[in-house]
Amino acid sequence: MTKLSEAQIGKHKVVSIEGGASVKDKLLCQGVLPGKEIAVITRKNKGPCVIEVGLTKIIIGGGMAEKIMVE
Amino acid sequence: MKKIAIIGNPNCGKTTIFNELTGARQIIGNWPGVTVERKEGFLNFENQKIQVIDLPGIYSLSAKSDDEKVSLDFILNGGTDLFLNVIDASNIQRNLYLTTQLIEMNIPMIIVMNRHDIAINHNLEINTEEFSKHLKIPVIAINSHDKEDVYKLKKLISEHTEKPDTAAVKIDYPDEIENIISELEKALECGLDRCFENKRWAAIKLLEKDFYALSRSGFDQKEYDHFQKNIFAIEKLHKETTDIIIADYRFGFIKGLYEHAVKRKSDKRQRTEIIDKAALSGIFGLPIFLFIMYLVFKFTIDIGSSLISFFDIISAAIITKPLEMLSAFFSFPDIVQTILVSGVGVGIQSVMTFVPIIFCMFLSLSILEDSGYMARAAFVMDKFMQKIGLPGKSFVPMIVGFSCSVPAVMASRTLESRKDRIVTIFLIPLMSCGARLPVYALFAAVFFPENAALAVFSLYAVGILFAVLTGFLFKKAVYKNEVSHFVMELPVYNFPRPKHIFIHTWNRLKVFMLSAGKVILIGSVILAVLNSAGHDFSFNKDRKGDSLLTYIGKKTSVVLKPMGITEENWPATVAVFTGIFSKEAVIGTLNSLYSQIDEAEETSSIPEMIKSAFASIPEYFSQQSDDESSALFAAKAKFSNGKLSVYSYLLFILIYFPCIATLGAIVGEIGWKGAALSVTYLTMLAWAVSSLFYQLTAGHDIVFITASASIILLIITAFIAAGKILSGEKTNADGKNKKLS
Ligand SMILES: Nc1nc2c(ncn2[C@@H]2O[C@H](COP(=O)(O)OP(=O)(O)O)[C@@H](O)[C@H]2O)c(=O)[nH]1
Ligand SMILES: [Mg+2]
Repeated sequence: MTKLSEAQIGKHKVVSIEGGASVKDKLLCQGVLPGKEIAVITRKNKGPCVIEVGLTKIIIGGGMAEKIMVE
Repeated sequence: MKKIAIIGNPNCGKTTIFNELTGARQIIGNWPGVTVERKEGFLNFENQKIQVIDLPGIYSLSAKSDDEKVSLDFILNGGTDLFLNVIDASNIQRNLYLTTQLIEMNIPMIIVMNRHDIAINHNLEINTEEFSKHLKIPVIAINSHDKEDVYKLKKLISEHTEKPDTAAVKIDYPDEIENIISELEKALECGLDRCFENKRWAAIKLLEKDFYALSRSGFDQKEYDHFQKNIFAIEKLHKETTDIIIADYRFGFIKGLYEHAVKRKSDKRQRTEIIDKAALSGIFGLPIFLFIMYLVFKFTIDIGSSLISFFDIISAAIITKPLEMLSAFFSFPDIVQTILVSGVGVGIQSVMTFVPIIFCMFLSLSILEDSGYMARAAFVMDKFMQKIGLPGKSFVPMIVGFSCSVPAVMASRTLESRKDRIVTIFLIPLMSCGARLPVYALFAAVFFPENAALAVFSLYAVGILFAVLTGFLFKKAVYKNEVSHFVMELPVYNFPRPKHIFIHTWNRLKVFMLSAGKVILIGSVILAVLNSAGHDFSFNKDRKGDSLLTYIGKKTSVVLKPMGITEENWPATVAVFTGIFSKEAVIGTLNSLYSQIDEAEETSSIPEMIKSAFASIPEYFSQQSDDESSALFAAKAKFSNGKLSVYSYLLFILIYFPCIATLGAIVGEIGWKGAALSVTYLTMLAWAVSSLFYQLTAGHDIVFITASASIILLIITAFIAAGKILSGEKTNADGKNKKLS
């Protein structure tokens, strides 16, 4: 299990989302919830990344990526 | 009149549809109490006139952001005959999340699957009838750039506003949750006079822990406490919080529906993928971004600036000149003439000179936004901006600030959180705008002839340095615990559409002319009056030299003393005042005060002026005027201690009070209070920094050094205090929420 901000390029599964209600909420409505399959497309060193959820690509800012645990 | 509202995710084409339905005649305003834009217009269709409202783009209805709150309140307030839920057909699943929430609110609605052309391109086959059958509401798939499709949509709307359908489908949750919901519904029944009758919805909101929605539906603390135990039990059983369980089941519902109604042959989203390989890459991402920003600049400066004289002379010809002739004809008293001509006339004229630059800037930004590139830029700059606590997106307004602070301040609207908007707006004036460049350049040419470029460059660098420091101060002292979280969809690249770009740009321009224009006009009237009143308060519209303004300048020149400005150099102080009007006026003021050359009276007639307006455009490209610098040489002797004093004066000009136009824009975005804080901060900082610079290098006066150092300390303390107050408010609010949870 690692933080999304440190995850390898490729497929992962979301384990949990740390952080407050507003963080959780922003991710929920993008379809990023625990148990979901996601794919990391690009990632800057320890920072923001682009992930693919279903058919959409979304940008996750650096601060946010640290709050998402994946495996 | 019937009223309809457009609701949907950001970027699904709401505004495009809104524009198609209503045409260019729109009323732009703000929703009460927040800086969320409100757009309203009218749809005329076969003798029917329907009011249309464009709601802000949202992903869910949870009242966590201003946008969501505005939309939720709008729905709860009622009175809307029909909602158009716009869905991006190329991304149905994510968009349907909001739809599930709308369905649970039992509101009259139609689903518009927009961007159907893109979906077809992606080889998606959407069966709208299947959707319609399941949800029991009309569902239509359109390409909003297609006239026929838009006609079909208008027809559907006009048929359904009379007798609209309400979605009649229930989203099922696991048994334990359904049990609580029905218990809650019962509890609500005996709770009587609630404002919202939809009990199932209120119960679900409670499980989602959405306290704002609950307070709106009349729920209270006691009821929540009562169910706390049951909710706990469920969360333990599912090893997950109830809000996530609910979201999960909604997505489950969506998945079932989607698999039923949408077939996907094979995917081909190649174009976007190929461009993104470069645009998002670690190596090319930044150069590409900088190159695009360079193009934006080049376009704005070359095209925009070439039209400034044109707009200036034209507006002088059709507004200032007629006002002047009018007041001469009726021989109004001098004070009225001053207010009318030098105040209102010149004020409008200066608003007009901003039009070409703002138009060009917003035109380029709209193109970037419409094409989908803006989201990439946000990604590329995110890591750097995070260091000063801002999201990547706020880099764009800052860059714009190098050309003009006014559109830059307005561009901060594209940021989602209020905190990010405020910080960005505080930093923008520190980016040296285009009007400050001539001031730097002329001073440098006269005072630092051998190192002119270096001197100018260093001023730009100092501005950026203080912007970064200010950002740090905000991050470390004020918004300690508020990290900028940003999640943003990466849209597919689109070919920008001229019509919508022009409507968008025009709307922005209108907002500028109305809100910033008001402040510019007031400021211009005040300055005009000060400029033509004598210090005995007598009026003379053609007064030169001995006005109240000069008087104030002389009297206050002591304030600039720590920068090495002596009293006999009082024009430098007057220039600081006129610089508030517009930064390049600093040069003009020094020139006319030092050379004592009265500006040649403009006696040309209106047709001649119009002719010279047109002539000014080619002139801009063919010649450079440098006649202004000559008089500055006269000033040279007056800056005691030469270079150091001049440099500290330039530091002051760089940082202090932004021009009135910028002030106007700031007021429009964050209100009078925020604007007052921002200009106070900038002016204090300017004084402290430039005094400290001069005193450390040349003056060595311990009193001034102590004074400026204490001002810097005072600023830091004020930031920390603001942080304390804000976090105090926050814990209070959290406390209230805690009590509920
Ligand atoms: N291909 C295609 N693009 C569309 C359609 N409708 C809107 N767009 C584009 O989608 C983008 C977002 O549109 P906009 O109206 O600003 O979305 P809003 O954020 O929901 O108001 C713009 O680039 C539009 O040109 C459509 O039907 N087909
Ligand atoms: Mg829009």
